[in-house]
Amino acid sequence: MRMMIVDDSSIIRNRIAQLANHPDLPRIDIVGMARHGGEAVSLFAQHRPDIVTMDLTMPEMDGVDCIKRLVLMSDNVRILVVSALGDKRTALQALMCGAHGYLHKPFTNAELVGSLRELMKD
Amino acid sequence: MTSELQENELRAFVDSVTHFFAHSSGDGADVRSAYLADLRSELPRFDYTGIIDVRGDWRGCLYFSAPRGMLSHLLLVTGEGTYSEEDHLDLVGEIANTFSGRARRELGEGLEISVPRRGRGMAIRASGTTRPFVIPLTWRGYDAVVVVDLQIR
Repeated sequence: MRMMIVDDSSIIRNRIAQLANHPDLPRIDIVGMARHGGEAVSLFAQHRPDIVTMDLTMPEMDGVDCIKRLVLMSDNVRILVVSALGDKRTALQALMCGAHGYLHKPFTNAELVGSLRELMKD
Repeated sequence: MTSELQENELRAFVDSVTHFFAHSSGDGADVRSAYLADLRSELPRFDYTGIIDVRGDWRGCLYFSAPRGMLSHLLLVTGEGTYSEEDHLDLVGEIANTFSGRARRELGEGLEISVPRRGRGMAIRASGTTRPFVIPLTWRGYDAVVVVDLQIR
């Protein structure tokens, strides 16, 4: 599986990248890490990842707009939102735009690994 | 026309602080009673501060401010391998973002939050005419504060 990580925090990007090597997960190759939606769209076009983790509150292009763009670029991409935004409306909006899962920050290692496993099930 | 934050609304922020430390470090923080800051003086702060500007049904900001030692310790606990200046600034902003995002669960999407502004050694004053709430906390011996400086439109 090829994965792209989108988050404006380098700490979160690095943490997700580390956990992608977890033994409970199938092999994941990190093909791109983006700091905002605009960068994510550009990296997505270059590398065509199978799965994406997506923050929502980011500069330049936010996560919901980015999800809409990525879904237009690929029917098959699976997107896990990883966001601090805790309200139901935002979660529903992200899912209706094409995200497949939603993980709230702060997350534990087990929660992220579990969410990635769910994302890769199909 | 604006009005002050109510006690139940402040509770959403206190709960978000409690949840963050319990969930991310496995070791809860001692979150003490909130108090009202003095409008005439600088607001309390430590080495690093992450500020979230708020719009929508509310206006103002909230911030988390912490000493370098606390942030270094949190970086260690969360498995981060580096402890640069940029890492500390990144973390303090991410924590402020997490607090505000979770508070939105209780207060609704009318609490529109910005991406974090981060800084070191910033002097901060109240943004409006109402007194901000200061939420003091201690985690593993380090003192820090969350300041909620919001008015309802």
